[in-house]
Parts: sequence; structure tokens; C-alpha cells
Amino acid sequence: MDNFFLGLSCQEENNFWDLIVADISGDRSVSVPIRSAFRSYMKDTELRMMSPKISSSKVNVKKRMVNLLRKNWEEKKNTVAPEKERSRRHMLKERTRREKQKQSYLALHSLLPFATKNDKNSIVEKAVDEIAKLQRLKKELVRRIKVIEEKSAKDGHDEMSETKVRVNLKEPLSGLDSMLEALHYLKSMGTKLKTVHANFSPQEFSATMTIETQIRGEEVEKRVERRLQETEWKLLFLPEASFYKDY
Amino acid sequence: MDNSAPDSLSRSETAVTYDSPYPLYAMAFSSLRSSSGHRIAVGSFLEDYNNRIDILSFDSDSMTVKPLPNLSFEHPYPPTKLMFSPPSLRRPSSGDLLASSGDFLRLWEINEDSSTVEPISVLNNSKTSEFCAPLTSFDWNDVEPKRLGTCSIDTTCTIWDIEKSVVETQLIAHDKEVHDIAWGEARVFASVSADGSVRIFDLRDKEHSTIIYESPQPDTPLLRLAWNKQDLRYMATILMDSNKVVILDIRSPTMPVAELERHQASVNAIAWAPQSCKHICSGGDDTQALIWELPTVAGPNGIDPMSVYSAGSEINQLQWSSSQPDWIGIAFANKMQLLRV
Repeated sequence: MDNFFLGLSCQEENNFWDLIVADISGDRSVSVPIRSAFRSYMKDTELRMMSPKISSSKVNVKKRMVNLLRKNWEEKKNTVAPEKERSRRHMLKERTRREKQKQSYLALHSLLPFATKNDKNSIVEKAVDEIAKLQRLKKELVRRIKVIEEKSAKDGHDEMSETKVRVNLKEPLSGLDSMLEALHYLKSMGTKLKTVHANFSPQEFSATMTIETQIRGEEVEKRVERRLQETEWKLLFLPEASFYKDY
Repeated sequence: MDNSAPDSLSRSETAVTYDSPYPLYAMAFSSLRSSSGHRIAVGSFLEDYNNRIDILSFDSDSMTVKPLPNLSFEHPYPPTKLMFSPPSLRRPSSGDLLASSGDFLRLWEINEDSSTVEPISVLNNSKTSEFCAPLTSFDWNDVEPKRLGTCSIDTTCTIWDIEKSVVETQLIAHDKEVHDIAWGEARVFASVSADGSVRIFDLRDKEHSTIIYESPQPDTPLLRLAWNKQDLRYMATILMDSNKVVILDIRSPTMPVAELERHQASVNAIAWAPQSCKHICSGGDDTQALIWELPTVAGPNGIDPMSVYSAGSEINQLQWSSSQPDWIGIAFANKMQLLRV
């Protein structure tokens, strides 16, 4: 602790103060104006005895300063408190958001194939695959619907149009039988016969018939041709099948 | 009446007064001498957000104090303490550093050549909040000038590295508000508190502190602390609402070596003489500034001060200039006075 003692400096300064004291003493004895703003305490003691004691009602400035600091600090801390409350509410909201997210992942997972893993990344990847697959299936189904609708529209065509059906047969066994067979067949196809123009000869049977039909004319003509061929084969092997025989 | 004329005459030659537009509280002497004289900083005391710091220029030859309007600047809340940088701080620029405490610790660069005041940094010691706990006082370490210690109403003392503008360390120093702090050595400081104790801390052993004084009445706050830089064995403290100046010897804890009791009202400020180990000055609500010389042996009737100065109002602040040891500065009401010793 002696290390703190600064004896030399202290002694030097003592000399300095001796001069000051001497100066003050000199002032008192010789009544010359003093260099210092301070007066000797003894004189002040005499003055003080004659004057009333000083009393102040003002609060000490140091105390006022500390109170001012504390008041400002309390105000700032009170504004900080709402921030802490806001922080707590934010934490609760985050917790709620995470819970909702978890529920969403579980719900999505339940829609996916059984073997899907349970982590978020797998759920999202698998969901993307499933959505793509479902989109492809939708496209295919839409295509099928279109095909079926087109077919249905075609079959449902109710409008009838007038057309000519021409048939021709070389060296018929029985021209009359051919004619009758053609007429029967046209009727069975739901067509409506309007006019018939026929030529009969041993070398050739030919007929032009005007009909009203829903089916295309070429189709009707083709079918009638096929029917007449069948009739020829039947007449060739089964002569009793002829309508003419009945007559 | 015969005495009044000579006193009045001599007083005008031995005291210089600055009238401020507002009440004054904090003040500081600069250790640098500029072209126009020595600088003095004074801080206003308005119980409001808007306060100011004024830089004055003191010429002891012509006995004049002039404000420097270009070096007047705003300060939030009244500054609790002002200090210029110690002469041991070597800086490349020509400016003078000024520190102020209050809502934060603030550093300012005073450059009289360019007539500018630049805020350098605003320091916050709170790790959890954007608001610094209010600082009641601070002391600038003149042995290690990059180190500055502040004390706060949150019971802590904070040691700053002002070159890096960071907290070097923070200690829970007391049980209640810490009112003042003072450096003794490069790593040793002491503090006083509203808990009524004077404690000494060593930064090399932060886990411990030494209580060297506790006020006789429990929880009587201690307001100010002054460490005798000429004789580090001695420090002085004052108690709230008390007319005593308590002189302590750190080698004999808890028992003051002297109690100076000649003020007629509360003591507000104390300052040791910068170049003498035996002299101390005190100012108080009795409007008096007293200079004491401590004897080697205390007499039975107590110690009388050496000399006295009567100001016009309660003295709130007192500083003994280390660069001009012939002069003591006091602040009272809206005046700052320089008194020749």
C-alpha cells in the first residue's frame, strides 16, 4: 500500500501551498486586495454568526437529475413491454401456423398411395406425381367421351334425304324375283320408296329406284347389290324359293 | 461597509462569470489550450428532452469568458457528466474529444479550427434493449485513456473501450443505483451508490470488490466520489442531504479519517486539488465553496476550512482545473463562475 504514496510530489506541492497560505495571511495582516476569490474562513465565520442560516426549499439538483433519468427510463421500458407482448403473440401465431401446416401435410398424405413416405419432401413430390397422373387420366377420359359422343351423334341422325339406287344384274335367272327381293330389302332397311324404273330381258336386269333414306345412298346401293347376289345363289340351288313359283 | 468596497473590487478581479440562457449542471475543463484560450464545456439542466452543451473560451490573462456559438450543440436530456479527453490520449486529429453521459454515453469531437462539433459515437451498454440504462456519471481513465467507466441506475458499472466503441466489461457493482465512479489506477476504480457503500474494484479480479465505507444510517445514499490523484490512499465522498464531506483512507476500511462539517446545508460537489495532496474543495446548498486543508492530526473541535467563497445561489457543480490549477469552476442557477484560488 505504500506504493500509493507520492512523497516527493506531495512535498513539492506543500511548498506551493505554503506560498498560497502566506499570501492569504499577508492579505489579512496588510489589508491589501487578495489574489484569490476566496476569503479566509475566519472572517466568514464572523459574518455567518450575524446572518441568518440559509435554507432552501428547492429539491437538490442531483436528486432531480436521478429522478429525471429514472422517469425517462421507466417510460422507455413501458414502451418496450408492448414489444415483448407483441413478440409473445408472434410466437403463438407461429405455433398455430406450424400446427395447421402439419395437419395439411397429414391430410395430403392420406390421399396419396399407401407406400408414400411421411416426410414433407416426399409428400410434396408424390403429390406432384399423383396430380400429373390424374391429369393424364382426365385427358384420356375426355378423349373417350368425345369418341363416344361422335359415334352417338352419327347413329342418331334422323334426317332423311332423297337418293337414287341403281342395281344391275347380267343374265338373271329370274328378273322378277330380283326385283321383288330388292323391294323387300329396301323396305327392311327403313327406306321409303318413291319411284321405280326397271328393264327386264334375258340378258340383263336393271332397275333405278328413287328412295328416301337416312343411310347414305352408296351404302344402300351396296347392300342391295349384295342381296341380289345372294338371291341369285338361292335361285340357282333352291328353285323352289322363287316368288314366281307361287304365282 | 468599509469592508464591502475592497471585497467587491477584489472579487471582480478574481472571479469570472458566465451567464447562461438556461440553468447549468454539468461542466468540464479541457486540458488543451486553443488559440483563443482554455475551453470549458457546460451542460444545461432543463427537465426535458431538449438540452444543450455550450463550449466557452476562457482567457485568464484578460479575465474573460466568451461563448463560442459555432461550438454550441443540442444534447438529449441534461448531461449528467461532461469530461474532455485526458492529455494522455494521443489523437492524430487536432480536435478535442468530449464525453457526455445521460440517456447514453456519447462522444463528440470539438474542432475549434473548423468551428465544428461532430458526434462520434453513441454507446449503449444494454445487451437486451435498444435503450441504455441511464448513466449517472462517468470517469475517464487518464492512465489508460482508451478506458472510460460509467455508472448507472441499473446498479451496474460499465467499462468501455472508446477506441472500438464497445463494452470492455460490465459489473453488477451495487445493490441500488450507482451515483458516481472514479478511477484510481489503470485497472482500479471505485464507486458510490444509493445503497450507502463505497466499493473498490480491480479489473484483474472481477469476482470481488472491497467495501471501504458504508454510511452510518442504513441506505443513506452516497452522491459523489473523488479519488485523491496525488495520494491514492485517500478519497472523499458525500452523503445525500448531509453537510458532511467524508474523507476515507482505503487502508482502514469503514472508519473515515475525517469528517468535514462546516457547510450549513447539503454538500453537492467535491474536488481534490490537482497538484496538492492535502487540499480539497466542496460546494453546497449553503451557496458556499470551501477550500479545506487536511491536517496530519485532527483537532478535538473538528477541522475548519481554509477559505470560503459565497456564490449567489446553491452550488450544484464544482471542478478544479488540472490544466489551470489556480482556478476552480462552480455552477449555480444559470451561472458558471471561475474562481481564482
